[in-house]
Order: sequence, then structure tokens, then C-alpha cells
Amino acid sequence: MRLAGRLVVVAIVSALIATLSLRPAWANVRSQALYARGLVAFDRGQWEQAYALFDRAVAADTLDAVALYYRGLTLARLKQYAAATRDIEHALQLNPALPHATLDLGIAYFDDGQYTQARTWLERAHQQGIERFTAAFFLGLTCYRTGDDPGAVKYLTEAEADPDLRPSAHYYAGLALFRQGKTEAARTAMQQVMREQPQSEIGKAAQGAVGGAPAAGAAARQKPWSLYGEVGFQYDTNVVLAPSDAGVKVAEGITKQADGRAVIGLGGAYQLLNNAVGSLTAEYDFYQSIHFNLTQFDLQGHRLRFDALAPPGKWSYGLSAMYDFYALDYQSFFQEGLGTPWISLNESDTAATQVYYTLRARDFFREPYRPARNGINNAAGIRQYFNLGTLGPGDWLLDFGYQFDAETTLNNGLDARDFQNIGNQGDIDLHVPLYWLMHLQVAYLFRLEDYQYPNSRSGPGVGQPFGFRRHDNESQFGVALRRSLTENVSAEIAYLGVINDSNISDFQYDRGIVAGSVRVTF
Amino acid sequence: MDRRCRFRLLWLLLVVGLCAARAGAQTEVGTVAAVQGTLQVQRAGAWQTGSVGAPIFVGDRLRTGANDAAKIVFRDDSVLDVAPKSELTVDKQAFNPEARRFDTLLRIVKGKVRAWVSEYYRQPRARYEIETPTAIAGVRGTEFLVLYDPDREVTDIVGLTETVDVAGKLGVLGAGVQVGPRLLSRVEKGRFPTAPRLLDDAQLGQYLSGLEIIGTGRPNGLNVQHAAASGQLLAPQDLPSTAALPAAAGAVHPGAPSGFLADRLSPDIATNTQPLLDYQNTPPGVVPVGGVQVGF
Repeated sequence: MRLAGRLVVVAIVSALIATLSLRPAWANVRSQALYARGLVAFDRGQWEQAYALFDRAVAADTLDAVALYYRGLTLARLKQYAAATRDIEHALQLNPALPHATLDLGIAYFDDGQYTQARTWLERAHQQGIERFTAAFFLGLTCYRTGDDPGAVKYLTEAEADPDLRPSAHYYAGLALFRQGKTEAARTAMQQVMREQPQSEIGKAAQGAVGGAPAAGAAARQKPWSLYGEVGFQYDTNVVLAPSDAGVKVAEGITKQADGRAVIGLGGAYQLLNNAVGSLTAEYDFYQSIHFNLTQFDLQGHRLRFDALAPPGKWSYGLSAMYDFYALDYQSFFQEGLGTPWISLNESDTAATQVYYTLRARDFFREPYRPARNGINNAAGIRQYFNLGTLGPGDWLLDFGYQFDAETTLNNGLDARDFQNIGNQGDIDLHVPLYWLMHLQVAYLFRLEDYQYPNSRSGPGVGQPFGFRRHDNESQFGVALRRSLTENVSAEIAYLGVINDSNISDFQYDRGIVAGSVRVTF
Repeated sequence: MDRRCRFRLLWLLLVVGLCAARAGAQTEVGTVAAVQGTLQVQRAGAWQTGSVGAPIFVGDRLRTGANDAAKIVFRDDSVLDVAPKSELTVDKQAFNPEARRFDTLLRIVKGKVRAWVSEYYRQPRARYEIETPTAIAGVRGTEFLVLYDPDREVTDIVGLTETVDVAGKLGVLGAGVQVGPRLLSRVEKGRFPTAPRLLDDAQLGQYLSGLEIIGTGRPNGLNVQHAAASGQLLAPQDLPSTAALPAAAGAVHPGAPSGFLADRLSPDIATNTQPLLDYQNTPPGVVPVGGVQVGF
């Protein structure tokens, strides 16, 4: 009886402990199974699959610190650093003794470019002796990034004790020494890199610095090329830009025609130069739309683009030059050249102001636009860019701007005057990273076009043209949702609405486009 | 039924049974999810190394050394952590959700395991048992720990959540105990299980030691294969000739201005800004016929 009584007491106490305190200490069974399967995917480098499993494990047990930590590690592998740091930090709150997590949090902050936070956590890891040399290595890199060159040299010198880290530690210590003006010490460090890893990127860059190789670092830069392919479908409610006005529709015999189209895009970019002066990138894009019914609107585009860019700093500047060729219904439509010099003042890491000027020349190949619409367009604009900070899994980016432009037709005929206009436009664009590797873009544009001469299709009465100048105001609003399916594949769905109001009913129209596409990038 | 007929039936049953056993033995019942040090797996008489992702079959014998540990996830969503210096066999694993048949038997030769038994085993007739030379521990969806010391011929069963049914291997029924969370029952050879007693934090920690397997067992940290530690440049401007302060990642440093969303979505939208069909009917400069309205 005494034994039975004792057993009852023990059972009650243990049940209470289990209910009140023990549950969070061990992840539940479902969480454990998902976490364990996630480990298998993680070990194979299947980051998307691992993320999905760890995410479900965390959902099954929100207090499972280890699953949370591994979800963070996986997010960092997927370069979702904001979400990664949040997960690892939360895991550390749940279990401050989680091995290695302090160091990983510091590295994730470093990779995210948040050097103040990175330094805090890396110093903590360094003090705790968690992989001390690794912590010292990343601390050294953080110091280098923030301009603390003595700190960089100190920590990187300590990291040299680890043979695996030694070449990179020598290299970045060398960079810090160069910056301090300690050329001899820097050259010594670079020579060590050349001996230790002559074929690596840093080995070649060091060779360029010390041996005076002609293309210092050019061979060592990161992958200079990229390729992409895209297929998609679009549904357009008004392909022909038929006027909204019923009377005009009847008079002109043009009604609104909706159609679907398949779209194909291919292209690539190659970095031709990247050195101390700046970089130069060449890009080619091909585009083809294939309408299901309105095949006379099938559009083919070829774009050749060059971007010259000075190294980033407080001020950044560049020049963008483009040549476009378009064929409509597989016959030459128009060609245009554009040049855009621009300069940005990077006020801080979270704000930048940019001004630009664009010169565009258009040459149409066919009637009815040739030669009337051939013209020069001068545009000047100012844009403001903001990083609104981290809300959800990443940084919200906002930019808005104003542009003034003037279209001057090259032909002096009455027909050409129909296209000569002054434009004023403002637009706003918001980029929002979402969970599940999704990205949302929301944009709105408002544009006023004041045509400079009375329009040939307006007049006090039939057969009396040129009565009024044309004034248009146009609104465009769009939303696009993109999701990364793998490291190289993404899918996007989008909607774009256009409402063009005009004082001349021929030019009043509206259209809506729903688009979906899949893009592969290498 | 004559003797000859009976013999044939018996022979047939034997063949079918052997085939079924062989088929069962070939079924992959689990996967190695983590290995600290080395996990050895004996299959068909030969020992081999079990790495992360390796399959586990019925009949496999698993062994860890003094500095080794492993985590196995089974197809029934149960998980088994194997502590250092342990050896066990996967004797049985029947998993058939359609038939609601869930039957697992693991036999510990020595050492310690922690089992996370899935919810399938809460169903009637489901059975999850871990057997040692002195005890049998059976559960219905819970976590528990079994330690067997072959030198002392003693089995310790510790409940972690909910309860574990513990019985001795005396060849007689009865005198089993239920072990709840944080309770320990000990079963010595030829004895009934002891009454459960509560473990304090230190004691519980001792039982859990060696079972804290975090990650895959290999270095999983963000420093592993990090570009900075593998001879790559972290940024193109990390060159001796341009050792300037680069921008922080995520910083707002815009490049050339890009067009509006419509320009990116489709040149069909960006190039089609004037009513082409209308102009084809009535080219610019030609007086239109009909009712063009003017005015907002």
C-alpha cells in the first residue's frame, strides 16, 4: 500500500513536470522525423527540399531549437540571409548552448552585409572559443569590410594558424596592409598566397599584384557570364489598342480584340572588363511573341546592350547604351538606339539618389509610322531609392522617380507633328521578399503627354482637321509575384493594367495583361 | 488429408514463408540521418560503413564505437538515436498504413538508444518494442530511452514523454510496470522491473549524454565550403589594385535606371503605344472620316 501510494505521487509529479516544463525541452516525434529527413536532404545539398522539411519540423514544434537552427542554415545556403539570421538567433534564444550557432549567426550576418551585427556575434564566438580560428577569420574579414584595417590584420593573422584558412587569411590581410600603405608587408602576404594556392582566384589576383601580371585580377574575377531562357504565356485584353469609345469603334471599324500569346526570351551577358577603373558588360536579348489569333502583332525583338560602371563608392556612375531592333509580323518594324549616362549619390546603405539623361533615336521601317514617327527623344529623370529594412524574410526596397521627356519628330510634315510631344511621368515601385522564396513587385506609373501641334484627327467638324492639340494621361499599374523553384529556375505571374485617357477619343483605350512565365538562369 | 498431402502443404508453407522473409529482409525500412564518427552496419554477414542517406534494412545489425553516434529515421516516421558503444539489430518492421499494421522490434545487444515512436503506434494492435536480453519495452507513440549493460546484465528504461510498458524476460507474464516521463525502471537478469523512480536533472542528463546528435554529424556550419575560405574572391572588387571599401550587401546602390514593370514584362506592351490599326486605316496627317470626339 505504501509502495502504491508512493507510485501515485511519483506519477502525478512526473505528469505535472511533463505537462508544465518538459514538453518544450524535446522536440515532438513528428518534428524529429521531419528534422531527420531534412538532414538527409541537407547532406545531399538539396536545399529546397531540406528547407521544406525543416520548415515543417518547426511548424510541428515551434520550440525545436535544432530544427530552427537547421532551417536557418538552409536559408543561408539559399542566400535568404534575413530569414536565416532570424532563425538562428531564435534558435540561440531557445538553446543558448547550441554548438556552432553563434559562429554561424556571425557568418550569416557577414554574408548579409550587416557587419555591425556580424562583428558582435563573431566576437562572442571568438571569446567562447568556438572554432576560434574560423571566428577570427570571419572577424578579420568583417574588420576589412568596415575599414578597420588594423583589426583585420590582427584577426587574420590569428586565423593563419588554421592551414585550411591560411591562404585566404594571407590574402585579405594583404589587402588590408595594402590599404594601410604597408606595401612590403602586403607583398609578402600576397607572395605567400601565390605559393600556397597559385591556381585559385586569390592566387591569380595575388600574382597580378606582386608579379605585375598584365590583367591584375581579371582572371580571378567571379564567373563573367550568365545565360537565361524564358517561356511564358500572356493574355492581353486589347492587343490592337482599340478605342474605348463606342462611336469611334463603329466609325473606325476597330473593336477591342483580346488574344493570348506565347512568349519566348533568350539572352546572355558577358563581363568584358572588370578592373580598378570599372566594369564593362555586354548583353544580348532575344524576344518573340506568338499570338494565337492576331498574328500580325507577333513581335520579335533583338537587343544589344553595353553597361559601363565605375567601382561603387559614395558616388557611383555609369553609361548604358542599347540598340534595339523589332520586327512586327516577321517584317522589320523599327530600330532604336538609346544612351543613358547616370550618376548616383549613395547617401547611406539604405538610401540613394540618382539622376539620369536618356537620348533615344527611333527609325521606323514601314508605313504608317515611317517617316512620320521617326524622332529623337530626350529624357531626364531623378529617382530616389530606399531600403525600408527587414520586414518578413528580407529587405523591402522602394524606389520612385520623376521623368521629363520631349519627343521631337525628324520629319517636318503635318503627319509628323501628330507625334511631337512633351511627357511628364512619375512612378513608384516596391519590392517585397516573401516567405516560401517568393518575391512581390508592385508598381504604379502616371504619365502625361502633351502633344505640341493640333492633331490631324481632331477638328471642329468632319473634314476639318487640326482643331485641337492632343493631351493624354495614362495610368499603368502592375503586380508581379516571382518564386524561386530551384537555384536556377524561377516562375512568375503578373498582372498589368493600362488606362489611357485622351481628349481625342481615338486615343482613349484600356488594356489588361495577365502574364505567367518560367525562367531558367545560368 | 493423407500424410503425403499434409507434407506437401507443409513444404509449400515453408517455401512461401521463406520467400516472404526474404522479401521482408530486402525492404528498406529506414535511412541514416546523422552519423557522428562511424556507424557500422552488418548486412549479409559483412560489416560496412553507414553514411548519411544510407538505407537500413530489416535484419541489419548496427554498431557504434566509443566516439560514434547515429540517428536513424524509419519509414514509419519513428526516429532512433544510437549512443556511443552500442549495438542493436532491426529484427522486424512491418509498416502498412492501409492494413493498419505497424509492428517494430529492435533488439539491443549493448549500449543505449533513444526512440521517438511515431503516432502510428497509438493505433490498436500496433506494436513498437525494444528488447534487451533482460527486458522488453513497448510503447504507443512516445519518447523513451533504453540502456543495456551486458557486463552487469542490467537494462534501464527511462520515459521521456508519456508512458512505456516495461516487462522482464522471465518467461512468465505479469509484474510489468509503466514508466512515465523522467522515471526510471531497472530490469536485472531474471528479475521483474523495479518500481519507477523519479530522476533528478543530473541523473536524467547522464542518461541523455551521448544522445545529443546535432546535425548530420559532419561539419554543417556556414564556414564549410564558404567562398572566403576556399580561395575565391568574395567580391570582384576584392583586388589589391582596388582595395577600396565595398558596399554592404543589401545596400541600395542602384545601377542604370531600369524601365517600368511593363518594359520588363513584355516588349509587346512597351512597343505598342499607338493604335496601329487605326493609323493603318487613317494614316497620320490624313483627315479621318466619322465621329472622333474631342474633349475630356
